[in-house]
Amino acid sequence: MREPECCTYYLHDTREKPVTGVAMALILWKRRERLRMIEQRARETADPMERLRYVRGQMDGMAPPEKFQRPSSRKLAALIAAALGAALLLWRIS
Amino acid sequence: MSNVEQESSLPLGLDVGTSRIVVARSMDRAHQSQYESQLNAFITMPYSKLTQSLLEREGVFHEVFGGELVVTGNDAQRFAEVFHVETRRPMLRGVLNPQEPHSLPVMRSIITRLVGTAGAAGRKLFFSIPAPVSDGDQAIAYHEASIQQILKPLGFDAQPIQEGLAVVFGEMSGSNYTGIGISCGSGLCNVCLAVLSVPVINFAVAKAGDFIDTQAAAVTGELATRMRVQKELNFVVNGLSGDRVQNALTVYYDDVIQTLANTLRATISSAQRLPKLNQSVPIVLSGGTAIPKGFLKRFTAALHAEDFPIKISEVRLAEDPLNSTARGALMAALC
Ligand SMILES: Nc1ncnc2c1ncn2[C@@H]1O[C@H](COP(=O)(O)OP(=O)(O)OP(=O)(O)O)[C@@H](O)[C@H]1O
Ligand SMILES: [Mg+2]
Repeated sequence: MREPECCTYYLHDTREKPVTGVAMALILWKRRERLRMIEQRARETADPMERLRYVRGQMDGMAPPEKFQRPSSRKLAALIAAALGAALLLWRIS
Repeated sequence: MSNVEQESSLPLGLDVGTSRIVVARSMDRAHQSQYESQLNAFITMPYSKLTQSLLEREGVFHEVFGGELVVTGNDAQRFAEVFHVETRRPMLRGVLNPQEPHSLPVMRSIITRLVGTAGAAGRKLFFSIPAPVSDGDQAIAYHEASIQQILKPLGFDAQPIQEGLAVVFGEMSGSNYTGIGISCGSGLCNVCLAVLSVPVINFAVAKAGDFIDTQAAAVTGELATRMRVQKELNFVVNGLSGDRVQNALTVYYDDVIQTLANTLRATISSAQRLPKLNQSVPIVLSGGTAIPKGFLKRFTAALHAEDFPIKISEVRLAEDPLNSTARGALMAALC
């Protein structure tokens, strides 16, 4: 069994407080969405043993990154600039 | 593979309890489980050929340790009555009793009798271990290693599971293995809050059945064993009455219930990293100490669910309180 610390990483919203920035909010949202998906799929599995197997498999599969790092703001700015540039280019071409 | 061969390679769940050891076997892949238990107790008698032949004639399982005859498990209780001696216990408050020199060989004998040898090497087995209590080191690591030491030579691939988590596995499929599993046993009340099968909070309270027996015995001047018999026979947790023993049992039952509810509240309130729980969660009570009528009602009242730090959907008693832990351990092994 995986160490509980490992899996609970994904259960805690507050670990990397203070939660700031769109990127971080997105990460937290994705994480919650993933848990919601697991809940829903589990509910569709009627057999208790299969349900446990599924839930544990999913939770055990969620290994946390070596060291949690937010995407740096510079990287993010570069990404947004690239996306804007591409959109502009497309608009010019069409 | 023949049926017998298949059976002897299926995983096992083992509840290593302070007063009872229970094995859960799955009879087939369709999840029919079967339980077998032995009292985690023994008696010793000075060795004599006569006593030994008597035990043999009666078909009583016994071993010779040093110069003594040792009768273990359910037979120990039977013979304690015949020979007017008190049974001894290899475990205390959830772990091996450090004061008891016979503890390890006795547990080896009982466990081996229940699980046999693995049949196929590496057969999976999950065994229960207690959670830490807040006020003291119970030497859980030593206890766990000792049980491993018993199971490995028998050929098992043995892994521990916390007792509270086993209750969650055994009883909470309905809430996707999210909720609070509690086992009120004889040495401890083990508690686990799990979210989607992941243990988040895990602790134990060192007041349970044994505490009730010894305290009630101390104030009534009776033997703890007699208190235990009375308690198991027909005790109802419903306030004071005219009977001295019933009153003593009621007082200490209440103490156990209040301590458990208060510790649960305090532990959850002070948890630093509690997951965000969108839904309310169930609580399931199991273990022998939760059996008497009135326990559930009293515990629910002590909990004050209306202002509990997390929302509680229901508080219920396990379907088969004496086997929940073994069942959960078996489910972990079948995963
Ligand atoms: N019908 C009953 N009424 C009251 N108490 C009972 C009843 N049956 C068993 N008990 C008590 O329950 C306890 C045993 O329960 P259980 O088998 O769950 O404990 P355990 O697993 O051996 O102990 P632990 O989990 O603390 O290590 C004993 O204290 C016993 O006296
Ligand atoms: Mg127990």
